[in-house]
Amino acid sequence: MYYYVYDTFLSDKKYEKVLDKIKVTLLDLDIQGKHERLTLLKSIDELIKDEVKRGINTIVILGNDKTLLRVIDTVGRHNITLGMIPIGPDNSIAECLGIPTEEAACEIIAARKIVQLDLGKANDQYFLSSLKVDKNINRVSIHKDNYRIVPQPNCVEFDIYNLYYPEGVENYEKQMKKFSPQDDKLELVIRKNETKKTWFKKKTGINPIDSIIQSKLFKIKSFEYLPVVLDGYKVIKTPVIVELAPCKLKMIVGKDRLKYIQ
Amino acid sequence: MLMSMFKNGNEEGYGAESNGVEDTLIGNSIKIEGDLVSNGSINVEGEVVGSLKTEKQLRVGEKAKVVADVKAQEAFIAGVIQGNITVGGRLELASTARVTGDLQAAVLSIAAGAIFNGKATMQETSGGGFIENKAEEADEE
Repeated sequence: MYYYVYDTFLSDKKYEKVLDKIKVTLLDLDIQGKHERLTLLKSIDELIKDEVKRGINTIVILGNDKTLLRVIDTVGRHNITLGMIPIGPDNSIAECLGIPTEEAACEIIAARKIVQLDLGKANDQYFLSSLKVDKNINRVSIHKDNYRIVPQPNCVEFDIYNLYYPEGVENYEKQMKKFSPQDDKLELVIRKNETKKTWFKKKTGINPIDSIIQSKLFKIKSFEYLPVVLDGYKVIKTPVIVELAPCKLKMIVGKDRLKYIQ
Repeated sequence: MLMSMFKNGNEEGYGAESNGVEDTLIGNSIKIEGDLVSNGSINVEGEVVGSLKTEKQLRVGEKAKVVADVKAQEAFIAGVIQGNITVGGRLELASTARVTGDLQAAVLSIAAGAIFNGKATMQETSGGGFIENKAEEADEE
């Protein structure tokens, strides 16, 4: 039984035709199920929990990267399969997973090719993509095994990646190889402030990567409570134990997925 | 020469294909304190204090500073190391290397300009390693 969850932005009239086409395609492919539209008053976590109790084993979200990332914590807690029908802009994750947009994605759902992806866990929260700290870095230390990593003054940000989906990066494939969501590891990436001089003015940018350390477990400690952003939307505070979750995410993917996702 | 063995950490060596091997790139925006042990290659461009051990290659860049005893299968040193270096295979000191400590390696190469204060011990390896050692030493002379 399928449970289709629509993100709130799909209530916009401009998506009506697309949604109608998707419903017709789902009917044609005989993969109907319960359809639910999210509103500001409906908690996506509660909805999914209720449906899991009723026996739903596949959740298909309709929306974009943000929609997908928002359900990861709940999906990670239950042994359910996750599918996606990408609609609108900001669908880099779907692109990595080989899922085409709109009604074309229905065939991927019907084909039901499932891969297992790693999940990260920060304290008791699951995440798929990354964890970010970009404030007061000089007050943070990261511990791994028998050593600690101390950011220096030129360090401006660090992230811990499970799945990396750089937007607008040409060599997607190359980047994904570094941060494969199937390598049983998390990647700590340290970024530093880089100042580029031009003839006329100084240009400041962020150096993409200064350091990379791989591990299954990191501990982030700080002298005071500092915000840590999970998957770009959820904020938790230090101290944080970041680890590879014991469970995997069962994700429906397309055949055109990046070759590093097997 | 040996540099080619150390692929740039930004390009290769990570991902599902690495079969559980953890490759490490330490830039100059961090400092490592403690015992760093890795089963993959390590590329140091920053600062390490403690000890450093890898089953594969170690590369210490020109601006790197390592205050630690170092163990690796192969090593290319271009920066500062204060501590003993034990390498199972080939150890190469570039012209910019500044090493204070004892060296132990099967194959040793020291470029002109490198500063080394300590004792060097070389072990004969199977498969003609001894001949190669002699050649290296002759080059230095």
